[in-house]
Amino acid sequence: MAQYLPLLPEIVFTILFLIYFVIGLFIKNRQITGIMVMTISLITSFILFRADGTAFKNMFVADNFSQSLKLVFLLSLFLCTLISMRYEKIKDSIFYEYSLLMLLSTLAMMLIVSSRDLIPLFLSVEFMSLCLYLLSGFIISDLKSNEASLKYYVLGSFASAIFLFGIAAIYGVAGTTTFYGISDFLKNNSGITIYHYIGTVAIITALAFKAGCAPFHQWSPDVYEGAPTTITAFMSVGPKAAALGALGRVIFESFSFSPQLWLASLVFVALLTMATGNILALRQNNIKRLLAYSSIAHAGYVMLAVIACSQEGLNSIVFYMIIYAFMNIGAFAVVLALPDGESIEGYRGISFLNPSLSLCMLAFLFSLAGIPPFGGFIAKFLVFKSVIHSGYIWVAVIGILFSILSAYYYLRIAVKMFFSNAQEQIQSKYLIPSNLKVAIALNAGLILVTGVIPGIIM
Amino acid sequence: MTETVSYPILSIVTFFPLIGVLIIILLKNDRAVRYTAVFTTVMNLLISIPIFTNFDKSSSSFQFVEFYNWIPAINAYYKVGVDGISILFVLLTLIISILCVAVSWSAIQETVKLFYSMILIMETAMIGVFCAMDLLLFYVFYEAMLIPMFLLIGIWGSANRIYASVKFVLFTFAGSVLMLIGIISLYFMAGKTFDVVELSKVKLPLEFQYWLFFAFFAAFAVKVPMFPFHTWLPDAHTEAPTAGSVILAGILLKIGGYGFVRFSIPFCPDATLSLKLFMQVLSLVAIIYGAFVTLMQTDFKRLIAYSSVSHMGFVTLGIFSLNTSAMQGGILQMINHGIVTGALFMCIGVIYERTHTRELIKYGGLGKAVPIFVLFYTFFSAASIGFPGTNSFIGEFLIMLGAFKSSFYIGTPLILGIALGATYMIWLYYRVVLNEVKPEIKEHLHDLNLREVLMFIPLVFLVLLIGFQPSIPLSFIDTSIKHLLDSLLNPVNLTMK
Repeated sequence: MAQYLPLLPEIVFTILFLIYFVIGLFIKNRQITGIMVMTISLITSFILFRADGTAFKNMFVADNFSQSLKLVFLLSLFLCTLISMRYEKIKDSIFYEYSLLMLLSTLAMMLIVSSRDLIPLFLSVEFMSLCLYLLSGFIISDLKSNEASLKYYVLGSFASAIFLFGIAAIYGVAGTTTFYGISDFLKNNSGITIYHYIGTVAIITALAFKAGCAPFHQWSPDVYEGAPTTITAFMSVGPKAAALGALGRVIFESFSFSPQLWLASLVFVALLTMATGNILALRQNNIKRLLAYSSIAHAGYVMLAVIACSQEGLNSIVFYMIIYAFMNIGAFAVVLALPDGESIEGYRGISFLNPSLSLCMLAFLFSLAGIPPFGGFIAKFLVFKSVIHSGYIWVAVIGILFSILSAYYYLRIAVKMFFSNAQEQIQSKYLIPSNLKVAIALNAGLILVTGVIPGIIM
Repeated sequence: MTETVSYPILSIVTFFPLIGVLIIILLKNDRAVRYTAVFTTVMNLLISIPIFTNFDKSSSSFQFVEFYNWIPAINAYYKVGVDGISILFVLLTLIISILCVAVSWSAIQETVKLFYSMILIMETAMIGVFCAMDLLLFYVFYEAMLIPMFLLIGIWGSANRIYASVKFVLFTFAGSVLMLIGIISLYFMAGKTFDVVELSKVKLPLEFQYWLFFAFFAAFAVKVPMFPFHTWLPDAHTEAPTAGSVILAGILLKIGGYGFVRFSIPFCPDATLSLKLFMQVLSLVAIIYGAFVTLMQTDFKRLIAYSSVSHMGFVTLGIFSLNTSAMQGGILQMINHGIVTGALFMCIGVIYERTHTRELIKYGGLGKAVPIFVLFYTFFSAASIGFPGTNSFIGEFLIMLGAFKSSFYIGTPLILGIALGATYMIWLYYRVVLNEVKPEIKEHLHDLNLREVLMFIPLVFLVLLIGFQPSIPLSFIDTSIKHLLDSLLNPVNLTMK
């Protein structure tokens, strides 16, 4: 039995999931099912750090990196369930199916970051993607949601095929698919052929697609805009963290001895991602689309930590994604809380109607822009620190120049909230559901605390 | 050392305003909010008194040092302390904060709670900037000023406030993120530490010093602002509410100069020496160009704003002439500029509250209409020109002395700068105070009330005190300057890394 101990969180999660799967059928009350899902994520979080080690001949690993990323997934599951408890677009009758898919995709993400072999990695990435295809098209009556799902599905299948192709090429060269096997092979054999390049570039392409990095990002704004807002919030954190975490692990554990294989392409992808995300976000008037582009930009910053290719880099990925989960889901919660939260005009003058909500949103925006004293600053700081430590100062300088652009589009929302007069027609005070209030206050508090005393989660 | 303060006084002074913010959040009544703000700022000045009485002027090291773990994983500490240079800025911040609360008493009528909360948060951040002895901590305080300032300009500013506030944030942010890259690379070059004292002892390779100098230059030159980076300043100053302008002119600009003295010069001594001329020339351009642009202005507030560009040119010239008297003058002039320009912005604020116009063409004849106001205004104009007996005279004189000591060709253009400075201030005086009262504003003009008189008195006192007894502020900074210049010009005790 002891050899299965590293899988303890997954096993517990699966058992709880199965229990929920049965019991949930008989519970019609949406609040109770929601609380059950949140409980599952909390219980699993508590046993997360109990079991270190590897299993299945080193194909599965539970180390600090994977455990912390799993915490990100469980947290984002928790927060996204919290904000969707009273979300009207998701009907009571389908909330059960919706929560099942969220749970399943969380399980898949947990497997992704623990994989130490390309085949299990591929399988769990597919597992996650299937759940996400369904989630993004979850509202059957909404054409945009359908379009998003179809687009995601077609392009995603294409990326999966490329992934498989890359694995085949690497297997053809190295004769193994385990990360350490590949690493050993590359250490001992200096000859590099075209198949090495094909293999690494295909793997980078596929994972960059899943993470929504440019130039493979085209699906994400449409999907983020089309999908129900809670799912957008969910998809913008967990799957991204999973894909970037997996990429970081593959590069660090398999290819760190031959940077010539991936360095140029990763730097290219990272810079292009930051450029695309930040430049295209400048002119968006739909907040969900704006946050979609901003999440592309954030994937670019995290990509810098992948380039750093060090333990420090991996740690900064984890820290970044934790903070990112708080600030991004917080921002989406504000989008949900406002009657016209999806368009930038809906933010006009809300600081007069609801000062505390707009101050929280201001905190999320400044944190996303990476301005102290919020957690987003420390996250960005650590990422840039890791890439500078690895010696790529110029990459960091270009990255930081793009992040100046990001301040502009986040400020646009802040300007609308604080400096414009409220529209006359919606002067009446609107009610914010209590679950959103809790979520917003919780996230705002967390980014402030992690910004002022980041030591507590490092 | 005669240190007798046994409690963490610097942290208390830094974070005391936040207690005021907490109280303000709970209050409902605008009046109570105002009184709480005044009480908090005055109280903060009072509890800071032991810092000044127990300060050991003969020591160049940091005093009242507090040292706690902050982020152990990256060796960042919460470390604060003051030396002879920063202690004066802490005092200036404490005084200016009280005046900001006072000057907004009747001018701010909407969202009063948020306004005073922002002023108090600003106070915390500004004191923190001057006390921080850890680069990362400094950066956090430095950037924490962005949000309150952004809101101060944007919510309570005048017509073009949105443009001005966004421009302010973007310029400052752009400069400071480059500094952040500099800080991180310095961290790795100097053996993984953010401690300012440790970092000043490290000898860095020359090439790295150049790059680091420019990384810090990006942040501080925007903040000062130095010549090509000054364009945010007139907009931000002009559009900000009076308290915002006073904070900007009084403290924020000084953080740039302070940063040069505290970080750029000790960390990059060789680069500083070889870039001395470059910095001096940039400062001269700022002085002369700034003065000419000031002459052209037709907006009361914008005129004073542009004059700041010129005055801050004196400061950077003083700092980068790299000799004792110029450095003394540079630092003293920062304090002077904070007092005098702060006072001038308050004058404008007071008169704008009555007339609701800043167009100079609508002004005239204030001497007949509001004599008490003009009494103060005349005094502060004279101080701004550098009239003997006022504080700016001492500052400008020391800078000129140092500039001539540095080079004849640097000192000579300075005379033109001073002459132009007198020209625009006197011409402004002519347009505002003399002539006949314009009918548009005549009925609105009434003289200062007691609160307004009271808030000008301490500034008058400070101007005269520094003017007649310059040795009081200079005695604080002398040792620190001597230490700074010693380690710059005779680098003997430095360890090779």
